Order: sequence, then C-alpha cells, then structure tokens
Amino acid sequence: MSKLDHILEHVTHLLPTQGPLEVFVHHNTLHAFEDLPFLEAVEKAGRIYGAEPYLSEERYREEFAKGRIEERDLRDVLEEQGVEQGRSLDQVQSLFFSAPPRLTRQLVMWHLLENGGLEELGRGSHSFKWEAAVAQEQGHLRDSKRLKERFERFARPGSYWNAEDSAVEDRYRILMHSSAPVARQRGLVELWLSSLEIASSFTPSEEGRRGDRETAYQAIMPVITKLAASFVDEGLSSWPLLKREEGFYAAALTFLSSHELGRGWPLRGIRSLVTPYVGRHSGAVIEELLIAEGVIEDEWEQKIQEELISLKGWAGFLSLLERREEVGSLPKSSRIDALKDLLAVKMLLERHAETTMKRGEEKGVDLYFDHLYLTAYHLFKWCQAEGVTGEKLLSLNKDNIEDLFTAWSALRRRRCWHLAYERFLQRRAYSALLSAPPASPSESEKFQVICCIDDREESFRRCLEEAGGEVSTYGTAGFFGVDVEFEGIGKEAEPFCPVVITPRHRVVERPKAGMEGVIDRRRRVVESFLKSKGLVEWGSRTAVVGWGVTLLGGLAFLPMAVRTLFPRLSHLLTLALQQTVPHQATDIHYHAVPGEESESSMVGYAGFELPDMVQRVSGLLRGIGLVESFAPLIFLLGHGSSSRNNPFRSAYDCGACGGRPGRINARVFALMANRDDVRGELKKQGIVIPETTRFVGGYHDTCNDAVTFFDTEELLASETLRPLFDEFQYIVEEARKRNARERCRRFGTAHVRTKEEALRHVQARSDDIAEPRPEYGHATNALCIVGRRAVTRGVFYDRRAFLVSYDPSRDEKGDILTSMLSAVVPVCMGINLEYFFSSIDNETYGAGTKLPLNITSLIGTITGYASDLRTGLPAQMVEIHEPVRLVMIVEAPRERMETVLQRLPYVRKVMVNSWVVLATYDPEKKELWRMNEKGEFALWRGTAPIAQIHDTEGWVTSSTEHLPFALLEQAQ
Amino acid sequence: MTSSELAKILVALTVDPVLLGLLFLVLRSFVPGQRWERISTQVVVFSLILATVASLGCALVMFIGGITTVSVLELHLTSVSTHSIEILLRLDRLALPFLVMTCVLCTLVASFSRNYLHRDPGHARFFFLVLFFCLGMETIILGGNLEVLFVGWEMIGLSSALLISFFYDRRSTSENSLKAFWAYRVSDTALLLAAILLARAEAHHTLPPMNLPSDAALIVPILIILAAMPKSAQFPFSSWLPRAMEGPTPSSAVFYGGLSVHAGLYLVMRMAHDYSMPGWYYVLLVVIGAATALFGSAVGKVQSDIKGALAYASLTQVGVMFIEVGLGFHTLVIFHFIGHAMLRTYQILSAGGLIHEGRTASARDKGAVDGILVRHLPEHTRQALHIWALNVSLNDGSGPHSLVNKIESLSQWLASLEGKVVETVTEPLRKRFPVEKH
Repeated sequence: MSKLDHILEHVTHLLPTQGPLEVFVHHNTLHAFEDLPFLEAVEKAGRIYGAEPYLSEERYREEFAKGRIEERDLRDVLEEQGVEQGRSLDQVQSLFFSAPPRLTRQLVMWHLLENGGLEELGRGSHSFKWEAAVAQEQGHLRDSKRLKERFERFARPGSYWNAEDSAVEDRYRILMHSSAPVARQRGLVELWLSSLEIASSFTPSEEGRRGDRETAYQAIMPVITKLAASFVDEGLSSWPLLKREEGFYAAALTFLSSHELGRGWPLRGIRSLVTPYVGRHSGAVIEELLIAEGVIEDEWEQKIQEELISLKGWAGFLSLLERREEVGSLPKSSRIDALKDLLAVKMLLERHAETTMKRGEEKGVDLYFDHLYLTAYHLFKWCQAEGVTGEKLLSLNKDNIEDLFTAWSALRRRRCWHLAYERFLQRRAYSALLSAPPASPSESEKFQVICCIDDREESFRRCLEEAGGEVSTYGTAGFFGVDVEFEGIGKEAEPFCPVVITPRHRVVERPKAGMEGVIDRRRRVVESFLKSKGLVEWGSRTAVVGWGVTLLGGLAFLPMAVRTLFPRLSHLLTLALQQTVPHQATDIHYHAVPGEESESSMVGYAGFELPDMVQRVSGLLRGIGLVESFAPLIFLLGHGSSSRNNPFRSAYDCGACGGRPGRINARVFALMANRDDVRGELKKQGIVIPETTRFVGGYHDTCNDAVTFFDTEELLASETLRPLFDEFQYIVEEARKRNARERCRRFGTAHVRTKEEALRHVQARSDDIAEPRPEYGHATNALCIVGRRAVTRGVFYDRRAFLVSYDPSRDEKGDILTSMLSAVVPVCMGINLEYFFSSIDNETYGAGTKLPLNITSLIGTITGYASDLRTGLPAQMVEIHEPVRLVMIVEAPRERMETVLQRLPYVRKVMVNSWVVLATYDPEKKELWRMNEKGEFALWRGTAPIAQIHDTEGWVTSSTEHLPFALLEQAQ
Repeated sequence: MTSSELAKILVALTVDPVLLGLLFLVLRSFVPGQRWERISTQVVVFSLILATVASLGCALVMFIGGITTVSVLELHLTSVSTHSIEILLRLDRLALPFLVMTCVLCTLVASFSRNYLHRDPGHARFFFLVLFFCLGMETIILGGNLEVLFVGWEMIGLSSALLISFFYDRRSTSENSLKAFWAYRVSDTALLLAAILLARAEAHHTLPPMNLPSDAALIVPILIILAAMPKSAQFPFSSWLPRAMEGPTPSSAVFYGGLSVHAGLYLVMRMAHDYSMPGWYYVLLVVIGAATALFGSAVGKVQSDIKGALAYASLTQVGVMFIEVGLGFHTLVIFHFIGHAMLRTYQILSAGGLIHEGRTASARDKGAVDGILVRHLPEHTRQALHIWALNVSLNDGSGPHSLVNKIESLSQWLASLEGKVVETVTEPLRKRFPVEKH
C-alpha cells in the first residue's frame, strides 16, 4: 500500500458517510472520533472541520438568563474543571458574563473606540469615555509607531491601509495627546497596545495563506461540485458526465482538455494545464502536484485532509461509492479510486485558479488581521482579569502567555457553559425518576401495545394509557426483531431492519384471492399516473415536447392551489384515493415454502421456517418482559412519517427499519405470533400464550397521527374480540387527538384550541407542500430509559425519552440486557448525536437552512445554485433541539451492568468516553448510580424541583417551549 | 355605473391592496416583536387575495361588457419643453391575462410562504420584496407608456436581485445576485434609452407607439429587444438565470418560473401589438427565440440539479414564446404563457419531493421524451454538443459576463491608478506636514 493510499484511508474516516437521501440513517457525525473522550473529540473535530465545538457564549448566556442554566451547576462545573482556582469569584464571573461575541477586526475597533470597550472588566464598573482617555508619554507613541510598522510589513500596498484604518490611527493619536491624564485609563491604553504587540507573535502567518487558498477554492467550487454531481447523477439530467464509466478523473479530464473549452472565467486556459495529465493515474498526479507545490512528505496528510474536508460532502459520497457497491447505480469501473480522482481533479482546478486568479481577490490579509485583533482583544481582557499591566505583559515569556491563553480561552468557558447546560437536564431527569412513585401493575389488562422505543412514541404511549386505563404499553426497537427484505406489490424489494443487519428472509405481498383484479387495476392506474408525471417532468424540460406540455400547464393550477391553500383537502383526497382499494386486499407471504427458494436465492432463502419464527417471537417477548399475563389483544405499532416535498422525509421514518416506515415488520410479527405451531413451540419454552389472545399488527404515522391495523378480518368476525377491538379503536382515536394536541404546542403555525382541531392540523401538515417542518422528528430527544414501564409511567417526559422495555427481574445473567444494549445504544446514540452536531454547528455539520435547498443528482441536496453536497440535518429540523448528550438510565443492578459492558466493548467504549451519559437505577432502594469517565459507578446525590401535573392537557398547552419533567397525578 | 367605470374601479383594486400591504409592512417595521409574523403574513395574503378577486372581476367585466381597453389613470405631472411627463395606467386585452396571472401566482406563492418562511429571520424582508415585486409587475403590465413601464422594470429587477441575495451571509449568493443585477442593468439601460428616444419623437406617446418616427424606427425596436433579452434570459444573456436560484424556493418559483422571466416577453408583445413594429423586428424575435430554445434545451440536458434544470427549461420555453410572437400567434402565446407560468411555478415549488415522490417515474421514462432534436445527431456531434453544453453551464463567460469582467477589471485598474497618482502628487506635501503633528 502506497503512502498516499495510507493517507487516504485515514482521511476517509473523517468524511461523512451519508448515502442517497432515499433512506436516511442517523449516525454519530463524529463517528471517527469515538476513541477519544467526548469533550476532547468535539474540540479536536472543531479544529479539523473548522466547526464550532459548542454553542456560542451568547447563546449560553441567554440560556442562563432564561434559567435553563443554573448558577449551582455552573459553579460545580467550574470547580471540577479547576477554573476557579486562584481566582476570585468576581474575576470568574466577569469572564463568564462579559466575554465579547465573535468579532472581526472592524468590530473590535468599533467596540474599543465607540462602545466603551476599553473600560475596566466587569459589568457596571466605571463608565469610561474615550474622550477622557489620555496618554501623554512618548513611549506610547513609540509603541504605536512600532505597531504601524508591523502592520505595514504584512499589509500589501493599497489593500490594507484604507481610509477607515487611518481614521482609527488618527483617533489613537488624538487620545494619546490630549490633556488631563488618568493613570488607570492610560494604563489600559498601554495594555491594549502591548496586547496587540504580543498577539502579533501568536498569530500564525499561515492564516493569510489559508485565506488565499480559500479564495482559489471558492473560484472553482461551482466547477468541481457540478462535475461531481454530474458524475454521480442517478437520473436527474439527460446527459450525465461523458465517459463517466471510465472513472471521475478520466471523465473530468476528457472534459477539461477538450477543444470546446476556452471562453470565460474560470475555465479559460485550463486546457494547457491539464493536457499533460490526461491518461495518467490520479494517484500519481496527486503525488506530483504535492511535490510541485513543495509540500514535504510529512505534511501530505495534513494537506490532503484539508483538501478533502473543504469538499467533504462530495468527497464522502464518492468514497462511499468506492467502498460500497450497493450505493447508487454506477458501474464498477466508475467507482475505482473515485476519491483519489476527485482529489486530483480538485487540486488541478485549484492550481489553475491560483495561477489565473485576478489581483485584488486575495483575502488573506483580512483574515490575518481579524485573527490578530481577536487574539489581542482576548489578551487585553484576560490581562485585566489577572491584573497584568501592559509593561508586565511585554516582559512575560512565551510559556506564561500560553498559560494565559489556556486558562482564559473562550473554548474553555464554552466547555464549562456546556457542561452546566447538560447538568441541568441530567439533574432533572434523575430526580424525576427517583421521585416517581412506582405504578402498581393492574391485574387484568385488556390491551397491551408494543411500540417503537422512539422518543415520539413516548407521548403516544402516555396518551394511550391515559385514554384508557386498561392499556399497558411496551417499547422495543421498531422492527420488532423481524429482519426482512420486503417486496411490496409493484415495488422493488427493500430491506426493513437496522442497517447493521443484512436480512436473510424475504417476505412478499400478494393480492388476496379474488382481489387480483382490483389490485392489478390499481397498479396499472398508478403506473400510468407515474408515467404521465414523468412525461410532464421530463417533457417540460425540452423545447418541442415541452411546448405541448407547457401549453397544457394551466392544469397545474389545480394541484398547486389545493396543496398550497387547502392542504387538509389534499390529505382527504389522498385518503379517498387510497380507499379505492379495499384495505385488506393483500396477503403477506412470509413463511418458507419448500421449492420456492430458487426465486430469491439472492437473500439466502425466502420466508421464515418455524424455528426462525419461534426464535423471533420469543426473543421479542422475553426482551420486553412480556412472558405472562397476556391481554386478549396485543397490538404492535410500527411507525413512519408521511410528508410532502421533503428531501429529508426518510429522516423521520423508523431508524430501526433502516430509515423506512415500519409497517411490514409489525404485520409479519403479528402473523407469526398468531400461529398455532409457533405458540406450541413457545409453550415448550415456558411462554404460554392463551388461545384467546390475538396479536394485531398496526402502523402509526408520527406526522399525521393516523393509526392503521392490518389483517383484522378474523378479529372483526370474532364475537368475543370484536367489541374489544372496537373499544381499543375508540381509545386510539382519543389518543391520536391528545397526541396531536401535545405536538401542536411546538408548531408556531398551529393555532389550535381543541384536540380535534389539533388532529386536523397535523393531517393538513403532513400533506402540505409548503411545510418545511412537517413534524419535529427526534428534535426533543434527550433521554433513554431502559426498564419496566411501571418505573416511568408516572412521569411526564415531554417526548424527550427513548423508552425501552426491560424487566430486570427476568434477566439474572444479563443476557437479555446485553443483546438489547448492543442494538439500542448505537441507534439512540446515533440519533442523539446527529441532532447534537447538526444543532451545534448547522452550517458545518448540518445541511443549513432548508429554504434554498436544491436537489442534486437525485441523491442529495445542495444549497442554492452550487455548493458542496450537504449532509446532516437542516436547520428547520433542529431549531428547537437542545443539544445535550443522551442521558441513559438502565434499571438494573450496577454489577449486572458492569458484566454486560464487559461483554460489549463498543458500548463500553462510548460510555467511558462519555458519548452517552450512563446511570443505573434501582427502584427498590431509590438509588441512582452514575458512571464516570473511568468507567466506575458512583452514587448520585442531587436534587431538582419536580412539578406535579394535575391536568395534563392544561399542562401541555401551558408553554410552547420544552416543559420540565413532571409527575403525573393520574398514575398514582 | 357603466361597466367601464366598474372595470376601472376593479383595476384600481388590484393595485391598492398591494400598496396598502406594503405600507403596512413599512409601518410595522418600526414596531419590533415576534408576534408580527402571523399578522404580517395575513395582511399580505389577504391583500393579494383581494387583488386576485379584483383582477378576476375585471376580466369578467371586460368580457361581458365587451371592453377592450380600460384607462385607469392619466396623470399629467409636468412638461419638459414640448414633452409632457405623464403617468398612464391602462388595461387592455393583452395586459389582462398577465395581470390575472400576476395576482394569482403572487397569491399562491405568498400563501405557500406563510409556512415556508415561518421563523426565518428574513421573514418580513421576504414578504416585503414579494409585494414590492407584485407591484412592479402590475406597474409594467398597466403601464401605458414606457416611462411608467420602466419604473416597474426597475422594481422587479431590484426585488429579484435582493431576493437572490436573500441569504446574504453566503458569499456566492451576493456574487450571483450581482450577476443577475448586471444583466438587468443592460436591460434597464436599453429600455431607458428607448423611452427617451420615443419621448423625444412624440410629445404624447402611448403603448404601443402608433407610428415610429423615422429617426427612431431602427434604433427603438433594437433597444426594446435588447431590453427584453436579459430580463427573459434570452440567448446570449442566459447564464444568470440558473445562478439566480439562490433565494428561498418560493421566490425562485415566482420569479424564474412564473412571472419575472416573462417580463421581457410582455415587453416585446406590448410594443409589437397591432403590428406597429417593422417587419425585421419579428424576424429578429424568431431568431433570438430559436437560438435560446436550442441553447436552453441543450445546456439544460447537462444540469444535474433540479433548479438549474428548471431554469434552463424556463428560458427554453420563453424562447419558444418569442418565436410565437415573431410568427404572430398572439393568442397562442397567451395560452402558452399561462400554462408555462403555472406549471413551472408548481414544479419549482414542489421540487423538494423529487427524491421521494418522483424517482421511479423520472429515471425510467426519460428516454421516451428526450431528444427529439438531438436523437438523430451523429455520436461525435452529440458528444461535442454535450461538452460544449457543460462548458457553457460551468463557465461564466457566455454572453455579457466576459464584458462585465472586463469593465470590472478596467475600473479596478483605474482606481488603483488614481490612488497612485494621488500618492505621488501628495508625497512632498505629506513629507512636509506629517499627520503626527499636533
């Protein structure tokens, strides 16, 4: 393996791994850094990606003002981080509350001169007017001269000394020579000048060169991104990149070296540059270019890393094409060395841009001075806090100054702020659980409902329980242990299970006997609809066919008006269209039929055999602790989300189903669990399901709160079960409304008063093409609680908790917990951290605002006309999210937890590195043990006020913000 | 009340609510607060609905009453030597469909934006610009002489540029906004010159000019076409249109799919009504339209992002409309315009669903309709066309931008020259009187 391959392998880990948006799988944005402790990782990644490691200080100060960060937490954090040592409280406080926002050079100057920025540190101290500031001694002038010389050395003629800066200089001079000296203020001026002096030796001169490189990249960004988009195009353009089957490098160079090029910026003249490189291998070209640029071998990795990270969206996608054959439909020959190809083409283009860049476009100088002034300003403030004078500052050695930097860096403050921000929530989560009275399990339950662990189902489960007292709910990963590849009618087979699992079984949907005609008619209608839609879509983009299509384009008024002005009508029409096919018109073929194996040999074998079914049914029931007291009706609710005009639609679907709606899994599970042979086998294992008990598969749409049930004919025909089923449907109806009401409080455009209105609102929302936030997805996630529902049933979790059912009393050896955590931790952590990083720095880690998004190549989005491929979540999905690490609480003895963690090295690693904050909970002793960075558990002692809810509906409508965790009265 | 009086009131009612809406937004900007978002959008949407209803009423009254022209306003402002400066607003059967479409599409897009722009920091700015644009379109459509039309022309240019750079913290939005603005400047200059020439020749002119004075007969039609071309992104002034897709989706839809891109079309029709222009004017329109249609459909084929593809699709069809005007199919153009504006606006608005809602259809069926024009080309010609198209879409150099770049670098050079001269001249002075002196 060559050195270059080695480097690329390293760098590849840093690139995003998001595939085509057709499915969206949440994962830790900083997956590559999981070997590091969390805080270290976010700060390191911040430097590598040029991203924010935490929220801004202003934001934290706002949260403090709102009471979302409490002083006691901040104080605790400061103590732990050793910030308070040797400093007075005033000093610390003033640092936390008067630090400047992100500034540019101009803003620093303005702040100093006009805004009283040179006043003494701290709030409300002496008001200091520049008019009174004076410095008389010649020494200052000397400093000022030295300063000016330094400026001039870095500044290029004509670019820096513009009018504004000389005005600032003049201002200084006036100040220095007016009368009425005030010693302290003179001292401050002196200190400021010394700070500038020192800061200049701490400002790397590469800062300027970096700026120039950035400009070169900006110039060719539209070219490289559009070439990459054209290369990977899955069918958006008629003409994808010519010769793309020969690989990106060959195709791009064919284009760049062609005779037709020549006119206009930025490609003018590139032909002569690239012609010698045609037909070469991209790896060799990269090495040659690196050597030509004078990059020594030790710095190759750094340079390549910077190059690829500045284009990380496309680089990540091409690298994915190279490594994973199932992504996209490009032939194999295109994919070989795709990442290298991209890098080589990018470097060639940048080289071209650097040599032909117009003068006056360099912005390196500005960047240099921004950096300088910021550093100086911080030094200036810190010195005041530490009582260092200007003279003393100049006499400090480099180490002393570096100490100052680390002691007072904004990064350190933000880290403290962030820890305090998280601690607030942890405290409340722990206290709520500790103070919740255990709900007594009711003797005879009529209904048991098994939902997904999803945080959005927390409220739905609570609403179900409140709507009908004889309902108990369970949470398990939403694929219900049924990993399948599903082939729907008229659709291609797709996997429905977590992405880490490769399904070994295929289930197929077929029309019921007698229904073939209806189904076939519908399939034909749908197909011809799609075909005519395709004709309009493609035809309208051509000249001749487009003429005919656009002449009739007035018809578009109808869908446009309905979908924009009356989204609910559109929803009802969609429902009516779906009604044209009887609901129960299909059967699922899920069991293995001997002799049919050849058809789907690709997935191993078709369908499930008896042992497979038994294993899955018993696995799920044991996992959630439902092995006795079966209710007559047990429902399984998969979930998904419907929305329109939404590139991120699958990000709202079920993560456990691989970013797809989880209909089929619940349906297949219910069919399996209702089989007599399966139940017979289960009985042998000690799980006795009464004959009268029926499992019913269902589906919950988390966007419009619709609930549908599958395969209910038998149920509806049964005399004993029918009334029960009707009763449950009534409960579901009520729960949907309550859930919709609770969700609507977060939507700024939902002006609803009753729960009926709320349900109508969310229905309209799911069909509204103008809605950038059909729902808020996982934006409220913060906790994950593994344990019996009895422990959590008394607490209002505000849709913030993943609730995983687990009965510790039936799992002495910890086997169930082991297999459960091995699946639950990566999924919940992935979701939590995807939201975390997309909200901490939405531009770098997220997809930016949704409003100008533009679909590219049918695989992803770009911002506006041209940009890097956007990865992560858009701003509208995370705007209400509180970025906090997942607080995980497991109801289990901590010894068992330790054993389990020994068996799961990955889970242990992320827990020890604090990517997830783990605690175990003992409901008997009311004790909570929290794991620290060393992997040891320590008893948590803390308190937080927990409110009592008397009227849930009144409570959820009382605020549009996050609500505190509270105790529910009804449960007692 | 006669039907023409009724029509007059109705026309006024298409403009007044928009004006009042704008006034409200301006006044409201003095009172800070979050709660304004909902009220502002309600006011805007309501005023646009009023305007739409009035415009539809207008159409009804004009058809029932058999009215061909409604003169809304004739305001004599002042006279400069022999020429009188007047504000003329009138609605005729050519302007009517444009007026109705403007009101309908602005209403739909504003209504769409109620949810779409929710919580955006630029919310108020967006709605202001959309209303401002609507008023600009109405001014163009109702303008009875070139002076009034020019005012509207500037209004839609300004609102377009400001909406392209709506997310002004991104560098590329401002750059692309400037590109559009440059194209508009060319257009504005041509239109202003045409207005001046017409005013010089005729003391009291209306549109279309009844008989072109001989000294303006050559230059005015050329200026009119030159004004229309960049506005409708006709070849060779096309490259700004795909780059304009930087603003929020609804603004891209109403400007570059729906209305603004047809403004040039309206201008050439307005001037060509009743065959008042010389014959070569129509020939030129056909040539330009055909060139644009060929150019747009070829370059559109290499677009791998949906908004870029739709931008080229838009200018292609507007090119076809130019051909239709040139061939004299005036009624056909109106139908084509209505259909195209509706469809394109809807396509851009709903472009976000492409991955999840249109995938199977688009990928499978493209062969069926693609390439009536290019299907029979030999392979190497097709490849050459492909490379040329990609080159054109990646380079800024097509058309006026190379010129713009030259002007830019020239002015930069002049500025630095000036600096040097000043420095040299003042050198002895500065040596003698240093600034440090006090």
